[in-house]
Amino acid sequence: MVSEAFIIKNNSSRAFRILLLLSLLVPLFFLIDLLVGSYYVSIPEILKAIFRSENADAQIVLIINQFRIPKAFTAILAGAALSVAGLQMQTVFRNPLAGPYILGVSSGASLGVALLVLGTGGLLGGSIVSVVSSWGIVAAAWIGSGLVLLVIVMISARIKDIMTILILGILISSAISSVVNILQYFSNESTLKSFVVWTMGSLGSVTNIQLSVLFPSVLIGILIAFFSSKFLDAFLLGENYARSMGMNIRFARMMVFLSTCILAGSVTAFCGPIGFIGIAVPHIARMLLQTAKHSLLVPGTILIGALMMLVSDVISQLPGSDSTLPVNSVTALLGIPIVIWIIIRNKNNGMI
Amino acid sequence: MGENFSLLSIYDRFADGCRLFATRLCIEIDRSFSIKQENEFRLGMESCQLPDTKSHQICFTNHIRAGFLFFMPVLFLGLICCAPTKKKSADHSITGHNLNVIYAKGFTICDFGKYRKVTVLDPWQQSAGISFEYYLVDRDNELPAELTGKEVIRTPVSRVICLSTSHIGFLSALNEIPSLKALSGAAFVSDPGVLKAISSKSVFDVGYDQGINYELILSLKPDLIMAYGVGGEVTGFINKLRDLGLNVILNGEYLEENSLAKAEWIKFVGAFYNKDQEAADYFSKIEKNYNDIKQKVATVKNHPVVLTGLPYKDAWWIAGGHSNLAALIHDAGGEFLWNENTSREAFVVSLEEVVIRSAKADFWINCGMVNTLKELLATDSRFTVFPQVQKKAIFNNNLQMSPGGGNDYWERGVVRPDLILADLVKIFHPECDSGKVFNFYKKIE
Repeated sequence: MVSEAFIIKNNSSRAFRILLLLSLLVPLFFLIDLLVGSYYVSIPEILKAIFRSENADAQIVLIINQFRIPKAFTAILAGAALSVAGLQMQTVFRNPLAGPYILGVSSGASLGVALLVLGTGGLLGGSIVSVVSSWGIVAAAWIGSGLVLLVIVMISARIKDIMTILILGILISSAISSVVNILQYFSNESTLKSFVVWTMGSLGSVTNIQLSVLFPSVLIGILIAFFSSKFLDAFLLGENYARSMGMNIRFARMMVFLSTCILAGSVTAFCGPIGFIGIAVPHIARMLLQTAKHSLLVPGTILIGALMMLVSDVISQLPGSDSTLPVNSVTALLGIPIVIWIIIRNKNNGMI
Repeated sequence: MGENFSLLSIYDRFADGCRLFATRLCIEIDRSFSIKQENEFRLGMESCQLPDTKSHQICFTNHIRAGFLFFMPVLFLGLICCAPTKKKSADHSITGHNLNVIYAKGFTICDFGKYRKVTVLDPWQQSAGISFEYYLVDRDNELPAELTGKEVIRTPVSRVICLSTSHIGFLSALNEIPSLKALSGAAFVSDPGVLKAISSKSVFDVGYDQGINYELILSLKPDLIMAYGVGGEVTGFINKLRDLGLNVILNGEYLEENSLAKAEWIKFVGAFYNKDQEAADYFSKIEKNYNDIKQKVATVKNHPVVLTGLPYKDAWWIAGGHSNLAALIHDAGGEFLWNENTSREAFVVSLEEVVIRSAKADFWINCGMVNTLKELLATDSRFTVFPQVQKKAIFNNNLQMSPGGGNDYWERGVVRPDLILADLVKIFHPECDSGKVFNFYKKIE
């Protein structure tokens, strides 16, 4: 089997043990995430609210069912989706700095949201004033990232060299960002604020109904990622090698791009762009699992991503305080020391 | 190579995060500082509520009001400048106005006969001990020798540029809209006269912040530019305009703690038009209306609890417990939901916290740009759990919207706090007859 060739340390049982440990930690932190918030709710009350809601305090049931459970699920979905998307991009582009947004997914989503929230006033001369619904934002972000996906797929069908696609992706997202900047420049303070808050990312605004859309989308993206594990293994050796194995490179690329855009696009649509997780988690997964096999790395990144996001959410709740921090800054502040520590510890291995 | 790159970018992100954290920390420190400062302000306030004192005394108390603990130098200056006032104005009584400032803490006007000195105190958020002095000399009078090197503005002004739409409310109240030559944010204007002037290209939009069109400003030859500062960085902007030979004044109306103090800035604006008396008359009329309405609800037994605002995603900015909005709710016989808060500035709480608190709120007001209940629920379907939604006790201040999205609440409402208060009383205490129709509010249903 080809995959045997690039296992750095053939230590599958270690990887399995770590995966097992992680799959225990995720539910644990899910519970912790339910527990913390600006309003104190004890564990028995939480359990009562979930399982015997008719006997529990209506207020607590409301908080748990409408706010904390959807938020914790969103954290798991967002963490898993962004991490898997980041892993795929790092592998396909063979670049440790690649992340889920490298193809311009988040800029596309930003443009969609900016057009909706900030209005086309600055560009077209008039100004649109209306209340922006949460579904409107989701749809706009989705359409924006979908259009970027379309462009990327069209490019990747024509262009052979993967580095050219990378550069084009970065160029496209820069161009879109400047359009967003122009829109921001011409908008007034209150719409600007609602846009800036969107760009900071948030898990808590996803409702149960929205979750019923986000969940299947992320599931589809992750399933595609599982099916592409083998392609991803081959990509690691370079496209020429993969081609020599009889792999249809363009089809494989397309599948990976499709999965990345569905994952990153859906999460961005509902939560706004959430940085860092997508870049850091694949590195953490590779170092912990000590493998390059994507059939192990994909579940590994899913679990670590979900765990990181849950921990970030717990921290962003600032237990004991009325306020919260934007989750985007917490992911970076939490993740970066971990990655620095891992890099320094593994320097001799030259892992990255 | 790859490793270096990733380390660098990781370092960048870390630095960004640290910066964010540090900024937050600074805000926290500043906030606790401003609370302290506020308390000291109030100490000086006690003696200022006396009505109708002679002008020199008022000048004196105003300086005390500015915070004697904080601004000893200003106080000292005030003593020097105001002590001879009485004598001088007795000699050449040109205006003969009583330059009485009762509520506003942000400015003082001192009459020296040949000229008036307008002082603006702490004109931006978290500024302390900063003041700007403008010397107003009548256009027809000679420039007094003692004013050489000072910032002299010839009055009455006739070509004015306003950099905030809230300034337009003052101009409109003084019937000085024809003097307006340009403004910032033409799309958000409500005043019909100004809207007409914009469409007929006799009033221009000069842009704002970094995008300000200096050439347009220069070509309009304004004799006064009314600006406002959000932070200290505005001084750079002011100096640039001054270097161009223009008169720039800072209007700090938006920083005042209550609505009457905000409205009192009409005296500040009036001074530049030589309309001190008109401004004082206008204000005392508003003040009387306001206090009459306030008196009506002073004896009510029930004080409905009021929730304000609308969240951005799951972060809800709540007006400070000592904010202008909280004061209005209190004066209208209501109780602000975050009554115990002592901040003037808005603070952020989680949506969850609001859900818990709002259970005991009777009304929900000022919810963004929402027009209907359907629109409100579209922003977050979980609002259905709010008791105010079920009871249909939601009122928004966007009855008077211009086609471009300007809200008259922020324009005319600045000079008509009595109308805002009447609306709130109508909402909270329909039994106290305070007017037949709403001025700025509407029911969301």
